[in-house]
Amino acid sequence: MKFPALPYLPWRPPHLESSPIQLNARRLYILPTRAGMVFALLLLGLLVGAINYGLSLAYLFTFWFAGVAVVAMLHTQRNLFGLRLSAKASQPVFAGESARLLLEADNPSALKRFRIGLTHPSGVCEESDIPVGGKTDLALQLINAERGWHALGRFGIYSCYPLGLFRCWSVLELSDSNATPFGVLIYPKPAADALPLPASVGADSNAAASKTDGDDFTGLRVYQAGDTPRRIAWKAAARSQHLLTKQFSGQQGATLQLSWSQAPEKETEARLSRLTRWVLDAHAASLPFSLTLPGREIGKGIGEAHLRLCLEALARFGNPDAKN
Amino acid sequence: MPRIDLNTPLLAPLLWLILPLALVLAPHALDLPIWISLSWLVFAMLSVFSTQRKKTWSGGMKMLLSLAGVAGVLLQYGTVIGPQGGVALLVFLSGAKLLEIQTTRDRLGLLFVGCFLLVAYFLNSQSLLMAGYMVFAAGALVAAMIANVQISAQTSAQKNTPSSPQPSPQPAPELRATLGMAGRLLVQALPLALLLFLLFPRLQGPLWGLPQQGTAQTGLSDRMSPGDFGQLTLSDEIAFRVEFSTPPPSPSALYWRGPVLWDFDGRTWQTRFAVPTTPVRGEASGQPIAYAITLEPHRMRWLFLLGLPRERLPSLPNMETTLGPDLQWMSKNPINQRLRYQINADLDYRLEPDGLSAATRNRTLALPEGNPQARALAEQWANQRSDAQAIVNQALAHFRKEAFFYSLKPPLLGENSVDDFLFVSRRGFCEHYASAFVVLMRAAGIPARVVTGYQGGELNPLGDYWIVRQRDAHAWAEVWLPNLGWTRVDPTAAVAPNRVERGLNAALPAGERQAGLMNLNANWLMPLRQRWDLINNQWNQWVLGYNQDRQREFLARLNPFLSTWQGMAWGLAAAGGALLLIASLWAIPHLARVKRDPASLLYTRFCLKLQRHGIVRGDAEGAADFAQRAAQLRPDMAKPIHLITQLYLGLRYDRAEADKLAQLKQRVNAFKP
Repeated sequence: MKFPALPYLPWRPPHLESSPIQLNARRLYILPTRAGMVFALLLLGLLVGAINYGLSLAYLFTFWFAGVAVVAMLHTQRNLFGLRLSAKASQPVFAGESARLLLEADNPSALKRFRIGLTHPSGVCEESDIPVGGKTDLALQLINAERGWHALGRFGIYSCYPLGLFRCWSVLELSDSNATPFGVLIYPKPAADALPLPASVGADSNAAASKTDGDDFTGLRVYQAGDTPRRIAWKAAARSQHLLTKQFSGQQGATLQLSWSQAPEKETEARLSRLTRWVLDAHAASLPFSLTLPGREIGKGIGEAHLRLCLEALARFGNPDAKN
Repeated sequence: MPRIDLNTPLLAPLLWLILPLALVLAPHALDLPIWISLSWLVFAMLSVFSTQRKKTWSGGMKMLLSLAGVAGVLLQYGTVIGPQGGVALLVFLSGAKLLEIQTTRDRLGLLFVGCFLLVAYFLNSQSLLMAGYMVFAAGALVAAMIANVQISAQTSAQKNTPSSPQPSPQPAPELRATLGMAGRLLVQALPLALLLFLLFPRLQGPLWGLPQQGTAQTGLSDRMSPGDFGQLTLSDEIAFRVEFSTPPPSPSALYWRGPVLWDFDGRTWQTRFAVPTTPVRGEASGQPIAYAITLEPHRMRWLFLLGLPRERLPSLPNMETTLGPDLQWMSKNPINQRLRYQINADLDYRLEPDGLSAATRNRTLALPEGNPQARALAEQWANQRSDAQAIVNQALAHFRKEAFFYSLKPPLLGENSVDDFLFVSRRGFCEHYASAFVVLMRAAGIPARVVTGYQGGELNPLGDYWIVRQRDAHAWAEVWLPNLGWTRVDPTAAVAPNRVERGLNAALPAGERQAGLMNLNANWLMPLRQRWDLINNQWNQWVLGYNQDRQREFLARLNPFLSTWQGMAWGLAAAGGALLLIASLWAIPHLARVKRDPASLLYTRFCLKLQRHGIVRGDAEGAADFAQRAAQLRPDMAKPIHLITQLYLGLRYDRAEADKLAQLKQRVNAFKP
């Protein structure tokens, strides 16, 4: 990270504001960069040379370069001025995947904006351009983000365009209209190795036996993170653009109870990974399941909403920086 | 040889560096030793190759290169600092640095070096053309800085996010947009630059010693050896320009007095030791003139005068000057800057008419051994006539009557150079005639000395000033006559009167005339060249010559307060602040211009069409209500009115669809109430 923190005026600390907000002159700060300081020194040297050798043109071009730097300062501020920013809902991801916090920048003016970036204590951002009258998503990529809720929190938006001699920035904290802060939820990383699902409780032994023998193949669906590689239909996937997972029927009768104690691992995160893997596997196999964590119980269910509920419970287990 | 694809993303940053730097360095190449320019080019090519092949150069190699550069510059200049060695080394190292450009900071640093070298070039030349060229070079540098910011966004993002599998490919900086931005920055900065140029208090340099610069080519020197040089170099370079505020004298009276040569050793005229500094003893006898000379820096110490200065000579800023009794005006230090001075003088005067001191007399009569024939001739004249003036006339008549020729390519002369010239070759230019004449006079017992300077000049009628060029350099003689004092005698005029009356070219035999030399009447290019010189003169006077004095003078004309330090500071602050305010005010409404919705624009046009027929939409009237009312007023148009309103409302408040917009456009265009 080049600029870990962008300063703001201490008597005007940024506070939680609801999006969208428009960057006006009162929000923008500007200071020369290190390169700008070096450039100033260079100009000073040139001026001394011009005086010493009495070169009028050296004066003129030194002043011209200085003028260019000053005008560039206005342009740098202009590059951010008037942008409308709103935080966007970010898709939850699994730990280890790239977690991106999105911010929509709307450029209502007739001026293209160049090289605008975000700064955040725990993320990096690719600078991007915003076309005239258009919108661009500025993505803040979290580095080594761990399981749990990551609030966007206080972040900076900056630009050094056009010359890199000045950096203009603003420090903001955004919420949506319900005053809910923005952030991204990161699910635990699914365990890499696929242990079979624990035995279903309440199902008869035949059903359990038939499960291990293999059920009737019912069809294919698109691969989801967490599907076991064994169920990937490699041949079908080769013909298609996506990875495909085989689906099996005959699992309806079983009631799968996934619980904290069933995971073979002892360490908390490893257990959560294991449970995540199972939850995904169960969902992939269209098995109804319930999830029991210490202090949290989710009843039997099936489907996307149920899956999300379980994954969120796993992500927030032990309350890491929880929102909600 | 592998093909080089210049469009690869790897090469773009490098090309954005090499090309602007090459633009800046191209004029330097004319003044730098060839090996530096060549190695720079080689470095540039190598860097392209190695980037193409993703090859890096070892640290030892780079160190070796730097050391080689330092050693080479040391050998060439004897120093690695200062305006020559320093610039040469910087150029060399900027080339070597191309081989290891890795980061944005490296590139920006190199562009800063480019800015430095651009300004440093003005040590060599400050001509109008070069200034124009450098504007473009500066534009290229600024554009490269803009491109660098855009490139940096790509590379830093790629470096910082190793986890992201494929950094989205960033477009390379667009050439036109980047150049356009650079142009805009330069144009917007120009008012600020001009303001600083005018108002920034000028200090009189130098702050530290000016190093000796390369000697300039001048037509004059402090020694004169007729017969040693077979050919006189003629140069159109300008020595100085003169503006007369009184009616100018005739060209044949324009003898611009420079160094006076007192001593002769048989071959060479020079002033071997300084003339004692006594005040000038002169009497003015008429024809007052006033003129201002703008002297080009000639890196010598003398200044030029016409006539006998009336009062004290002007004191020049930061220069110590002395006026010798021989009317030789010298500065203490070499003249390295263009200089302007104003003189009030009398064209007719007598110098030391009341007699010579014994020392001066002896010195101006001294003759070394040799040249027996010349001595014999002079003694013969001295015996025939007692009157000094008559002897002078006899000598001039000798030059006129005998077969002497004016030539710029005379044969070399032997040991007794004066005898050789007077009795054998009889061909030569002003130096030969002046030298021979003074030797003859001294041999005849008349005190005489050689005076060098410039003769004549060329009037530029456009600007009403005279241009004196290096090829107008001239040498003549001065003899001391009782009661008249030192009297100018120009033996060259006796041989080639045209030289004095119509300039050098007219005096030359047909075979020797120089096509490149300007001839006032015969050259159809003359008006153009005069105009060009006029522009150059203005440039010199007002841009290059804008020094402390000029600044004070100029600002005092605007407002006396402005010409003081405080005035300049206030002026700068006020005008600079105003400029910035204007710039930001002009910039911000530009930003606030919100893109209008195309549907609204079309609807406005529809309303305007109705308005022309007296149906005006009220300020608070909704579109639907307005449609109702309009349809009642114009039942014949009810159908299109409702259709357009529906389309508009749909576009505004429902979903914007492209085909609906096209429909609306078509209907509004077809709507003719």
